[in-house]
Amino acid sequence: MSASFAVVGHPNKGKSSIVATLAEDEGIAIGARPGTTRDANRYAFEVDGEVLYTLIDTPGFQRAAEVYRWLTEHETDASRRSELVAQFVERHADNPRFHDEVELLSPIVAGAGVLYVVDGAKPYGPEYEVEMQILRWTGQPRMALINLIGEGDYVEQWRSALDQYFSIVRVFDAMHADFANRISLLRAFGELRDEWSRDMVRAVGALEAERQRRRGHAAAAIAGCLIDCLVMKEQQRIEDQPSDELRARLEARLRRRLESREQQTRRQVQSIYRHERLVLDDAGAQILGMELFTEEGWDLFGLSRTQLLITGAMTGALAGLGVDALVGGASFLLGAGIGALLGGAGAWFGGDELANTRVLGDPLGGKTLQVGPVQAENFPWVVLGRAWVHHHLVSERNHAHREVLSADLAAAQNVMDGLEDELRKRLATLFRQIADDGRSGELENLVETVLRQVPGGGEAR
Amino acid sequence: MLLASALDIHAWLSADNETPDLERLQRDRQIGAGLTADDDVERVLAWWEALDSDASDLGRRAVGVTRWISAGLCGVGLIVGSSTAGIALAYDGNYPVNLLALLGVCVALPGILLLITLAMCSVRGFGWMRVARGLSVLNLNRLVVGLWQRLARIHVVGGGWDRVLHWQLVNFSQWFAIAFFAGVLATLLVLVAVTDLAFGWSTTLDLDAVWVADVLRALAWPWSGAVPSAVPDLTLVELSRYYRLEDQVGIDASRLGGWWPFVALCILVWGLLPRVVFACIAQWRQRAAERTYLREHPEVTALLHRLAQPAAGFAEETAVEAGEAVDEIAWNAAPQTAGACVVWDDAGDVAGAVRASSAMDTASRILAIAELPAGDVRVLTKGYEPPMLAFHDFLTELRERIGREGAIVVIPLGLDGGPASPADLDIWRQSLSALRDMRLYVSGEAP
Repeated sequence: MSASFAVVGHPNKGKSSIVATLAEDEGIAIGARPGTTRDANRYAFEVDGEVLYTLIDTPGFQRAAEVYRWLTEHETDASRRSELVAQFVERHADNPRFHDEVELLSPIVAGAGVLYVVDGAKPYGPEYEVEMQILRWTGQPRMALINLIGEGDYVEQWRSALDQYFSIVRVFDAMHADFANRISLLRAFGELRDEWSRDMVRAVGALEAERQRRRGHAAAAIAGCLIDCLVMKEQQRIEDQPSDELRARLEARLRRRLESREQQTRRQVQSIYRHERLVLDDAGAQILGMELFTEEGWDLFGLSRTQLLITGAMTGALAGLGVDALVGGASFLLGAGIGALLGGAGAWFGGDELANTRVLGDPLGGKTLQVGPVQAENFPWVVLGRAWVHHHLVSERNHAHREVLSADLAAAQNVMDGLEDELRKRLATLFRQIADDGRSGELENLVETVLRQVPGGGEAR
Repeated sequence: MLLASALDIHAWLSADNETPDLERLQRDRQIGAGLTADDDVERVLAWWEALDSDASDLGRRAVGVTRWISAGLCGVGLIVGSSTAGIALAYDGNYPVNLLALLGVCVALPGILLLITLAMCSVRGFGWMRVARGLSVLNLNRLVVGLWQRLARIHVVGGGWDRVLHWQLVNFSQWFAIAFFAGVLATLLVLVAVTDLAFGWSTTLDLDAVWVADVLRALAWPWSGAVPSAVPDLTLVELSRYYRLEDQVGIDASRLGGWWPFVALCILVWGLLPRVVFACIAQWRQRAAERTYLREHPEVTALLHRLAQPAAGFAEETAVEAGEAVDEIAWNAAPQTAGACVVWDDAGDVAGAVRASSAMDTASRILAIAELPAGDVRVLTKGYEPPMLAFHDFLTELRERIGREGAIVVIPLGLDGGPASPADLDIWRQSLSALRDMRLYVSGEAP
């Protein structure tokens, strides 16, 4: 049987926050009002369907003293205390007065380890002692977690009290714990009982591998966004001279598409890190003041008029050369010359006719106004800088946090200055290459290298 | 066709971006666990098959357009080849068909074009993309590839796609060339069968017949063992030379027709066969380019990770139920009272106050409150701790003790002994609403 851990304690001490953080579940209800959690909820950590451990979020103690009195009244033998707790659960299973206590104690009676949560920002009080006594009576392995909700610091006071009842006492700030804190806590779970340690080591390994996958996946998403943004353009077929209004409309449309592409990537990164509900305040993330490439052009199957002229002339020349060969060179390459002239003239003058021809409903070419891609040299750095900062904030974001994520993405481009020169050079070369012919090469790997670092310096975990 | 799958898979994965990552991970890992292929591309294709998704018509359309254009090019190649052969083999009985012109148009010129194509491919191989792109403008098939993209509605750019495009262009060229040579060969055979063709050779240059014979024998080397009759001998070469100023060539007409097996094999071996071989190579290279194109997409990389890595995550077994909603009551201002005082859970230190706590049993608490004088009661509590049901029980006991008329004023205190924070007061008021006691007050003023 895999390990399971019941997160128990006084109401409103952050039990659900701890579960939300460890289970990376932003859907777990967390409220300031006591009694937000009414029933025990199980969160099984699975690797390919195999459960390695289960976290159980429970309601808080409401009538601990009454439970303890019942236990002491019925105690006959100190060696049978855990059985007595089981009896209490069995006898009061349908008693609404002890609903919360039954929900809380049932998983422990069934073999779950105890994670007792207290708030280290508030002072210790003797009323907690009954709860700790009941938990001791269960006989299950126990760990105390000192959560920190607010400004106060009574950690040492709590330690002194908790050390008497729990084999492991740790401080765990559920709202601010990062990945390394979570991993460290999971390792500590494995220390509670020998037979749980193997599964907990596997769980830690799986989480670390998953973390790598997420970073790689996020890098792929950001690389895709960069490529799209660097080659994105707006085109419209035109008959005559394009108006300023049309130019402005195409520019606005392009900026909207660029912003929408960035937002799509942010949503994707948030989803990768299980922050689908996260609301992002990304004011200042608009694409403003970027120099856009604007061109009026003509094309037929992607060939410009000059290219078409050369192609036509060359084709005519080749046909003419065949005629020259047939007459044994007696025409002195006149065939090739005439062929080139005819082919070139045909391509030049017949190009418009051909361009306006519709095949399967689409014209084959014609005159166009093109806006984009964005020309500004710092554009890819701005996009990458924003994505980097956003990724960092999201990847370190705790699932117990429910506030809007404020990100100053407007200033994010400055973070790129912190990259090492070699990486910057390779990225710059790739950006030029993508803008030039769309070849993205090792962009994904380079982006992942960037994401491995913390914006402003340091190595990400 | 791999390209069709690649286009569909890329389009599908891009649209799949909006699917929650966990859902994608679980879906793809489930499929990935059952895949046996080691090769990345094969894994992706097997995943695609297992997904059995409604693909867009992008791939189907691309395949359809490719087939139509290939067929069209074959048709045009046949017509151009037949026409060229018809002109080159024109024989009105005055002078024989000039072998040098015929081989020049039907073998040498296409051979030069093939060499140019090979040079372009090599240039690309060396990474001189700009040069290769510049040279590709010289190829009429560039228009065909443009038409192919337009009709198939493919709007893809990028390095991987560039390679696919290049080999598609080469493939289209080879289909045209194969059909061209097939047309030439067919026309030759038809004319041989239904007319009396006579071949000779003529040139203004002072070429020695022995040298010409050597060149022609070298050309015939590949089939000299298998078809010796199709190898011209020196006598035939000498006798086949003609000058238009002379009335006739110095050999009988029936011998001049004997050149045709050599001509046919020249077109077959030096014209058609290299194109067939190159078409096979181009097909193979295009498939390799399509594999690279499929694999290079960032979403495909992410997909391969999802297929390979065990899905690690939490599965919730029990739904979270919201707490029961409690209708809030309107709280009136607490009356100023100097009545008896109860200190709950060591919330403060007030002289003469009765002490009670959640750790005491009911009987002890009742005994404690029994000491209270009649009238209003103030209850000091720790405002920073949540109100628990044990406290509700205590208030119920207290109400029974003091009767329905006496006011009970609960005063939650802060950490500093002053009034609790407004947020904590709210929590206390919300919680105590459940008691529905009209003479119960929650005060924000510390005693």
